[in-house]
Amino acid sequence: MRKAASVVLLVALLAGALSAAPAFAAVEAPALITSAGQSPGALMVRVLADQAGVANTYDTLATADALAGAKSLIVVIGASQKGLGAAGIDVNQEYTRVESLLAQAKAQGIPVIAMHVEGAPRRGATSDDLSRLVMRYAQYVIVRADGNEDGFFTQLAQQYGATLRLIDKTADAAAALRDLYGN
Amino acid sequence: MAKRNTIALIALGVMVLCMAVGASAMPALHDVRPGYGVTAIGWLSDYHPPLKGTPGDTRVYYLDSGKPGATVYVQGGTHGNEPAGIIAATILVERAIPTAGRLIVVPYGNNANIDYNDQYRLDVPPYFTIEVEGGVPRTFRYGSRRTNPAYEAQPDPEVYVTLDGGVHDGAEIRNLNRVHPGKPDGTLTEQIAYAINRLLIEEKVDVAIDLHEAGVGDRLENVLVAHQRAFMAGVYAVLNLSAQGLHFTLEPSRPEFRGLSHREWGDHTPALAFLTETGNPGQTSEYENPDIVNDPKNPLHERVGRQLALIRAVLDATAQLGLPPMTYEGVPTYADLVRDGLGPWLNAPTAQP
Ligand SMILES: [Zn+2]
Repeated sequence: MRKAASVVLLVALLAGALSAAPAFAAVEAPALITSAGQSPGALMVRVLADQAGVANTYDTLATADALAGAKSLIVVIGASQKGLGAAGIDVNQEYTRVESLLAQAKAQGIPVIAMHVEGAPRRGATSDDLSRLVMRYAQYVIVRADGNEDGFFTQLAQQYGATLRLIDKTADAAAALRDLYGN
Repeated sequence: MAKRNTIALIALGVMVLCMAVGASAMPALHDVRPGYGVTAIGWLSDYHPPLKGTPGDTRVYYLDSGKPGATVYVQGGTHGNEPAGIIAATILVERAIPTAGRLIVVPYGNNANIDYNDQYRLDVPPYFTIEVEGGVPRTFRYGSRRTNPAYEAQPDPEVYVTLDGGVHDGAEIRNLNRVHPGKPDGTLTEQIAYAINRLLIEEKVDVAIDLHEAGVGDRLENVLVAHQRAFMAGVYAVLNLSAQGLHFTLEPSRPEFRGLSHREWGDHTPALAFLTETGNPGQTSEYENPDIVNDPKNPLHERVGRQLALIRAVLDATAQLGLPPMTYEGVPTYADLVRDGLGPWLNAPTAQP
């Protein structure tokens, strides 16, 4: 039983390494890290980006002018009523802000990395709406696997031609960022 | 006629008084077997003497390393039907050996709900047992969310309004986690909250953690709520837990929702305040005859393991962010509890520490 499990694990690891490694071209820092939905995921990604040695500016309410000087845009998706309430904004305002930020990134040719790192508990109608928006612009996607059990991000990544990397743990996003930024 | 009414009223008044004070002279005592880490045992009433001799009094365990460090408060049993926090707190009392700072543990935060059956779940017995070494069963009570109404002098109001203007259903006046920071002359439940608030202030508590459970699949399952001042520590803690393979969802304390521990402890005391929840089959409406100890998907030992891992991760996080350390040895890790179950980690009648 244990042996079989190890073999499966090994195969999975190999497959993961083979598929993930060449797919991720290096993206350049500094990154602008922002939130789409104001959940704590953005702050977690900032901590992990620091750990990964990815130079960044962090602004959960960043607007288009915050892109000046940025060479990549990381949008961390996750809707939190508490977070939106604390920021004093509603979902529509958040959607509009994120959309104009993404449009500006596209206009400037800045690559977009979509991240969803808080798993299944951070799925839901509002989060999914924001995900559909961000995925329209994203070239790279990093998602905690339990938030993709229905294949939601897999399907969107295929639709928009983005490179998807699934991680098992939120903390694994540090390694994913390290790979992506070639650190 | 008027006279008879007066006499009836006086009799009723005496009855209510007896219910409030007399009928319940002593607090419930529990099977807690302190280990060598415990340096003192007190009562919650030490911080609010009117609680003495009421069902709202409860044991306070002090584990002082004698070395400098942070003072940490861990509370189980805010809600008597959420056993993982009660057992996690009990394990700290029985097994933790502090090596820096000081740990204060209250396993039964609201001791006045532990003997109450609110009929919310008729299919969960009011006791559960855990077999410890030698096959000896240890028995723990399974109570209710709210204080036993027999212990309150007044019936529930129509609506309960907290000190800060929060509006709740009237019965919530008996929910300890809606009445923080309490009132010195309030209901029994409000006085319990007040005494806890005094404890946090008088003991100069740096970090306070309130242990809860929610239904399996509930949006609160495996959530860590952090007060604004504690939020960065919450981020570090959740990432640390994630690296161990334990998913927790972080949420900030809601400013508009008053009376909750993470909110009011953080606002009214210097402590960094946290609240956590694990998934209890006994609070899951879809389950029939749930087994709160041996449920195959969410066994008690796994939930206790999550809670103990979370406490450790919060203390690592606060130390990482510059607070003095509070460390201890002897407490099982999540992996220890998944491997061994609870039995070997609770003191047996004849156990040598
Ligand atoms: Zn609770």
